[in-house]
Amino acid sequence: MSARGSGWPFVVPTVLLLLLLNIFPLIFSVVMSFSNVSTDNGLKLTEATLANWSQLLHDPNFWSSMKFTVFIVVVGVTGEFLIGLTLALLLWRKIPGGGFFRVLFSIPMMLAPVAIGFMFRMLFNEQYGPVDTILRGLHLPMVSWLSSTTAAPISVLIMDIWQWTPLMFLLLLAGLQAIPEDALEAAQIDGSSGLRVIWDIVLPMLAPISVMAVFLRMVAAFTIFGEIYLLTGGGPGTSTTSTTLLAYFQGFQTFNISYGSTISLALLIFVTGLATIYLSATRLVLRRWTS
Amino acid sequence: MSVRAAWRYIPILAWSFFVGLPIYWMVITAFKDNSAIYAGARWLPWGDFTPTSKAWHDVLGGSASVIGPLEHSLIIATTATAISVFFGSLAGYGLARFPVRLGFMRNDDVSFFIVSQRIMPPVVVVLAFFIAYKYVHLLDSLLGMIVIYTAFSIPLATWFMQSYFKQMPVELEEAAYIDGDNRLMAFLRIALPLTLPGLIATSLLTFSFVWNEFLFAVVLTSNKATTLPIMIAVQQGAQGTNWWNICAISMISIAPMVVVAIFLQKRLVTGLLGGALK
Repeated sequence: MSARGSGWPFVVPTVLLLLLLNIFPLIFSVVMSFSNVSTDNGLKLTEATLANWSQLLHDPNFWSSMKFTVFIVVVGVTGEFLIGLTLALLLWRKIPGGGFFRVLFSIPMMLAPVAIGFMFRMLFNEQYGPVDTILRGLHLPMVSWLSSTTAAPISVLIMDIWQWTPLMFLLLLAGLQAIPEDALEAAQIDGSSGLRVIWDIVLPMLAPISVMAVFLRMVAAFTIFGEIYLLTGGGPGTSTTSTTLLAYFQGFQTFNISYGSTISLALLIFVTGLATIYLSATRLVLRRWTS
Repeated sequence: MSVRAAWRYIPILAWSFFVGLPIYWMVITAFKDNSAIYAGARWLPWGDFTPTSKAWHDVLGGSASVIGPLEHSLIIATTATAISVFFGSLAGYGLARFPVRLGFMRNDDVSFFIVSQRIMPPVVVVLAFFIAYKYVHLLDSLLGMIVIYTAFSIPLATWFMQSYFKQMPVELEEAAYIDGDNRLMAFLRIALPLTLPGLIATSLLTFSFVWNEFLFAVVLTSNKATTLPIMIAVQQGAQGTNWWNICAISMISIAPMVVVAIFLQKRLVTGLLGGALK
């Protein structure tokens, strides 16, 4: 780093924009969560109250939405990582058709979440969708993909894995391609088997980018909204209501803006906590593993 | 081909089927009408259903015209991308090259502050934005949408650009100083052009986020600034869902990105790598 004066002139515009457009709304949200907002005749906030937060703690809908969201985050992101890693390893070395598969495998992440939600609703349709037609053809039992409270969360999970495995795949493939050839050649001369090379050399070198990729996905998966909104609308019942969906319903369908803010802030607290734990834990593991 | 290479195709083809089926279904549904949808699954155009271009007439100027939303989406996404990548590059450059201090905060703290904004769930700010926009009359305006998308894209843009600048050798800029450039000139003339792959990758990621985003759009727009995702969402109406329109609009909306992805396949991967490895 050269010492030619301060970097502030470069950084100030961004910091000011973020303070004005992210931090200020955040503070406003906090204020709203401690009062009751009415917007009928101009904006009115009642005096400070803890009612929203105590309502939150006793709201079974909030806890079930957190449970569902965590389910998608944990199972979905793990699945995306494992499948993405497998695909990246398979397409790492040049094989015929590799370029085609790479493009095909990246398409889902470019589609709009709303489009994906609709597409899967069509696919999972029990009267005229292709999935059940295939199951019937294979003499497998039909599944009530979207109308049963046990199957609907699985359907959302399948959709999420379909949509976001591509990102994992691309990031991990980029990581694989950055591994220097000589490290691999040395191992092959030693006579290590393919799987040993992957386990001993490739995976440790892939660790930093894996940590980043999982982090990016984890934070984003916590805010899943558009695709569920159109796939199931949060139902049946509340079985697929993510926390963002719940906050949206509270804010813009029941017009309980204060309570909507409270739910969204609870989500923020949760995500921040988990992100902090994740980052410190992976830092520890990485240090131990790579040294 | 050796037997060892051939087994790879089994999982690859299995995944291709999983990825391909929804895409295939979307494409053929864009050419269906009522009769080819509600009577059961139809698989093959000219085989078990007769393709029709009805949806495309409706969507391209007919009863479900996407022309307006398409324009809004283009204006909003390109402007927000340009602004956030520009400010993100500035900040990333400042943080990568020069000491930054604010009270107890140093470069790493400032950079952490900026990146940490990324953790914020969009729904946290959207309620506040809704109320604020209502009073400054920015609801349902292109400007309002550009502002909120810029705010949400800057953190990632800064983070990515900072890591690209860190990888670049500083000597070329030193040469520019000797030529008498000031820091802004050195940034614009030397540093920015040299990170072109990073700039492209960052812009694409930002663009695709803004292009596809739904929550902000559904809360903050209603008519004059609706974007393509909203246009897709409203095809579900009182008279049933217009599946064919949904699929046609989805294809229009993904087209620019697939084209770019095919052309920039190699660059995008190296670009992503630069940004992801801090």
